[in-house]
Amino acid sequence: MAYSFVQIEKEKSRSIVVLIAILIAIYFFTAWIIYFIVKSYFLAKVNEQLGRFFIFPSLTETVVVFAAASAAALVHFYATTAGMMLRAIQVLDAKPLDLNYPPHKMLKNIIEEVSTAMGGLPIGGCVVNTASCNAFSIGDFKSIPYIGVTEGLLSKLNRSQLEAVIGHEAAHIARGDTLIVTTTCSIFGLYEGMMVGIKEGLFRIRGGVALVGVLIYLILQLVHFFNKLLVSSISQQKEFRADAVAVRLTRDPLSLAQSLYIISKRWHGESTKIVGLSSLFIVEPAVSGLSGFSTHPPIEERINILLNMAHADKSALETMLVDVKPQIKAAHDSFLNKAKKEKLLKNHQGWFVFKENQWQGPFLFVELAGLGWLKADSLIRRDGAIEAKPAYQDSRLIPLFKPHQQDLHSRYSCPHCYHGLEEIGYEGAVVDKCSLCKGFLLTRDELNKVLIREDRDFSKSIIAQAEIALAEKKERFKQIRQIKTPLVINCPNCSRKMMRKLYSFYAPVEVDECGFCGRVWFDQDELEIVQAIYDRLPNKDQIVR
Amino acid sequence: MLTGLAILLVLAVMAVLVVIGIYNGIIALRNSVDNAWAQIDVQLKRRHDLIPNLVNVAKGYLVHEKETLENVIKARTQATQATAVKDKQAAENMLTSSLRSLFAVVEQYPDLKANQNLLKLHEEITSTENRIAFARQFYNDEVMRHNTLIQKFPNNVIAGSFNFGNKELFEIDDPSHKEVPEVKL
Repeated sequence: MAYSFVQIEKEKSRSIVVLIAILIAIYFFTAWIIYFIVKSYFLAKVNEQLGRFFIFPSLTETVVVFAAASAAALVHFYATTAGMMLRAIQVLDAKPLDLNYPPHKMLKNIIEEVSTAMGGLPIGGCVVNTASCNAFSIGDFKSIPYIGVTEGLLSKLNRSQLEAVIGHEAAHIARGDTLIVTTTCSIFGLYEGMMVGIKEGLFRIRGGVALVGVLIYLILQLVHFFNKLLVSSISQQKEFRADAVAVRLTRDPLSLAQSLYIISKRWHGESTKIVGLSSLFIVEPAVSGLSGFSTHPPIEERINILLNMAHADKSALETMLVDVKPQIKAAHDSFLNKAKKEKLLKNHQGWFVFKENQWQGPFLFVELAGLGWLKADSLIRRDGAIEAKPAYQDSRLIPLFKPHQQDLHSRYSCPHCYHGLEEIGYEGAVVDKCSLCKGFLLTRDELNKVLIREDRDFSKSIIAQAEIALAEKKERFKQIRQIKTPLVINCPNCSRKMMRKLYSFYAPVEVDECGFCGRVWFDQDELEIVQAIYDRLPNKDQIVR
Repeated sequence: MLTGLAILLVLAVMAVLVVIGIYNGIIALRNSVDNAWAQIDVQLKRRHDLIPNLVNVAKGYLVHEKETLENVIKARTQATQATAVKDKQAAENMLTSSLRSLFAVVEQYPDLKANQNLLKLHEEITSTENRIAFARQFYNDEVMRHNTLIQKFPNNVIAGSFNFGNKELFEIDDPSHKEVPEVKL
């Protein structure tokens, strides 16, 4: 690894010089333009006599403006970068690690491991106490850099996945990205504050001063635009490079792909108010309106590159989100015992199916279609792969189950796994439940019945999730407005596309609703979370109709 | 004649400067390799310090597994005494395999598996094994950079005349050794 302390220090001094130069340039041009306009405005009469509209500042005046701008830029730089790490930590609400708490101890160990892989670069650790999934790095010119992880991410990733995420952040630190982004945020944070102030002030002032105000506002807007453009054009490349360095450090591209996949499938928090601070995170917190301004490249692209490095395909990721059930584990173990024998069977690419306590096959797709006994929940395994999973999770096999729908004695089939939904009694209503993915389909009437009754006690995890949903209410509403139709499932009743939305103003839980027949699809646990939230509402009776 | 001499002098000075540059480059990388080796040593020491704790925790439960415990202690003693790269490799590999058999034994004792101290130690040992692997990876990367540098022309001539030899890689005899001794707790 070619990142020694000397190089990192050199990189630091170079980035300081570049940033100061940019700042001076911005101050100089702004001051020069203002000076030019003011001069032209006040000397308007002289101009008319001379028959010209503009008077350019002379060389001496330009030099004076430059000196003043440089002084202002330096003051600005030192004022904003002093103690910027503390301020960033405050904005992000990061807390130190509690080493008596095992997950935090593990995080600290992992950070030290990655630091060892880089030849002993010192890095600190901190956590943010939120359920969202994300990680970031911050650094300044004086103290050691820090890597922060949210509690949500800490609970979702295993050791090697967390190691890959830390590797990615450490790569940002070693490449100097962290320092540049933190500094840029601190410096331009001042402009952002000024912009907001002027915008508010504009409503109160009138006359010539307002004109100057508008002018300054427009110039700031321009600076803001270039800042955003600059940050986004640099950081898109940075993410790919940091991914590559992380793989080089941990030699584990699959774990990084898995963690990116897990983060992308979960709530990854609202974007921070300071522009550009979002580029500190491993996955951009808020979905940006204009893709050109995203600080991060599309996550699918990053995952695909990593999967290519690992010689794996997407199916390796999908199994990640499903808890391995005991039966899958048993099947998995029995496969491992026979692994050597089956390795010799270098057949065509096919599927093995787990039946009567052993793996049968391999079968071609056509053969599977003719089997007759293959069900949506049969365990299958791709030839050459080790992971076993239920057949409904393999998107290529789903067409096989569709014709079976008519055979099933249920009204509907699951929009996710095409398995027939079971009619069950639930809180006084008859609802349809998928026995595989544990999702529920309810009409509005059934929902009211369910919500009114309070027969059920909820597990701790459901109550915790309900609390998280309430705490993140604002952010969730903000995010749902920006969502670009991620998972569009078809209504099991009328086959129209269902809309991804938050259940209600009171219960900010993501559900799918059919705009035509009004049925609502709840994924696993979502219905219970909504119920738990409603049960606590003081004015529940008025709301549920 | 005089100009020819001047050109010759300039060339000689340039040659000396090039030699100095290459020499310093090699020295810097050599020190970096030594530093990387010291890093492995730090991590190995950490492992050696953890083992007595592990043995102490496990001793009370593993009355009938004296042999396994003794093997670990023996391997540790050998590892702490080894100095040459080759000896160290062998001793550490032995220690790794004895640790793995210890953890395999631990799996069969539910009481021990639930022991809080053991859980903490397990995390520490997992982390230490990773650190050793990463330190070794860093050392090997540095050694590779060093060896590539001194084998390149014209560096090889200078390295040869100053007696700079290749550095040894820290290899592991069996790729499965890279895996952390795993215990499911």
